[in-house]
Amino acid sequence: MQDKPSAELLIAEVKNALGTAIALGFAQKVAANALGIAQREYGLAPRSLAQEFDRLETLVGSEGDLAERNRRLSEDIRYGSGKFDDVLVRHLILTTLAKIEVDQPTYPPYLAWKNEK
Amino acid sequence: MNDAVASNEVLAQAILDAAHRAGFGTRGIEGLKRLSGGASKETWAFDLVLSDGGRRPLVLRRQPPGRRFATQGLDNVAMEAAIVKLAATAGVPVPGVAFEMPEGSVGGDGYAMDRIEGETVGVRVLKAPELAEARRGMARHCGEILGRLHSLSGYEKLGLKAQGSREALAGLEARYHDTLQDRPVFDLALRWLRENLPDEGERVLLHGDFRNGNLIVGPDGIRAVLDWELCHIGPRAYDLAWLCVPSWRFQRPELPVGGFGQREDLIRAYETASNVSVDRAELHAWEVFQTMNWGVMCAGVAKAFMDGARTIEGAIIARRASETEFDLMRLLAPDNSIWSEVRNAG
Repeated sequence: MQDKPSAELLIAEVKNALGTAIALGFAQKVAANALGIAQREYGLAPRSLAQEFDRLETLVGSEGDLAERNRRLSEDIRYGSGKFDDVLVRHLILTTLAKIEVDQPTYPPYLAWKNEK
Repeated sequence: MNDAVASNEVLAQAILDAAHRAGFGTRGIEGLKRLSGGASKETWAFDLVLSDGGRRPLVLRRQPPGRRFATQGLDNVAMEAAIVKLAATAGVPVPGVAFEMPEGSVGGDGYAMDRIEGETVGVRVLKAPELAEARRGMARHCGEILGRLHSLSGYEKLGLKAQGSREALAGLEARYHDTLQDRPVFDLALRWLRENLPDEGERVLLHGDFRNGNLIVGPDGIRAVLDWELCHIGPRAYDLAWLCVPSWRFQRPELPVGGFGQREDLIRAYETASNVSVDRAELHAWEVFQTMNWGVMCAGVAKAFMDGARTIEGAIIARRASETEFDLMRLLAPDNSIWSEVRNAG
């Protein structure tokens, strides 16, 4: 699941800043960064969230929307038996990779992992 | 005269009054200028012009009057000055404390310290060509500094918060739940920590935010350790692990200690300075803790944004919580075959 604030709120905040005044340099870069996250979220998230939603069915059942399924997964882990099930770990890794591809595809440890032989 | 100029003059006078109270004979202050800095504290640079015509370059660190102190930090800035002075007695490099702002000063709660030249911005510390030699020795130097700090006594009367590993873990969990977000990766990390974070050990004086970004570095090495506001009493590995959190390695993820060095150099220097051996598994468990700690801070910024504290910078920090989920999964399940399956498919 993508984190808050959503792509829509990111764009709204940049629009606000542009409507008043935005300092050249650093503030401008931060605004461009926010739009980059929103752009990737609109491009990538529909597919990755659908995949996450399907995987969650195997883990916590077919009821509820994405947020509710994640809530059940959180609770299962919190009060769970203590074993790190491989299906669970694979799901969490896939979900995390999809998130960081939207939020910060240039995060140095992520890039280093991608470039490992 | 505009408001900013007027308030600068009020601050300048308040600083002068504090300097006089502390026994400085002065002709005045010059070059008072706000430095960029922390979210909760302000820092101001100025020169104190002494009666004999000499100058002392100083920095004021203050909490402006009426502003709320950081919830997780010390009760007041004067306490921070006392800790900085104590750390100096153990040979920890810190800026000398020149004087404190008296209670009730219109300049706020704070203290003036020596202005030390050098680089503090984490990314530049790792990149500047003139600091190449300094970087080579920094992991060892950090180990030595922390070993000395953690050997200190005399902090008992300062009334610092004490937090062992169980309380720290309960606090982390509570702060995560305060964000009102469901993050299965954080829940997995918490469950792992409950099983793997060692129980109560010896507690020592901790810096609390010891990382690249809070150090003044010159070509000769670390010149000063800054930002003592999260100082508290707790397990040794807390400080060692925070320095190794992947997010503080900036563009150098392959160098686990702050983006500049290797764990073994940090540990060996620490053991020599403190005469206490470091358990590698314990350090690893605290690295998991501290990685999640930074993640919960980002998630907390997301909560604040949604509650109305809307800034673009806040939004960007909020969306950095996922970097810690990536780092946590690398720490908790490095050998899962899915990593290479995805990489080879990509």
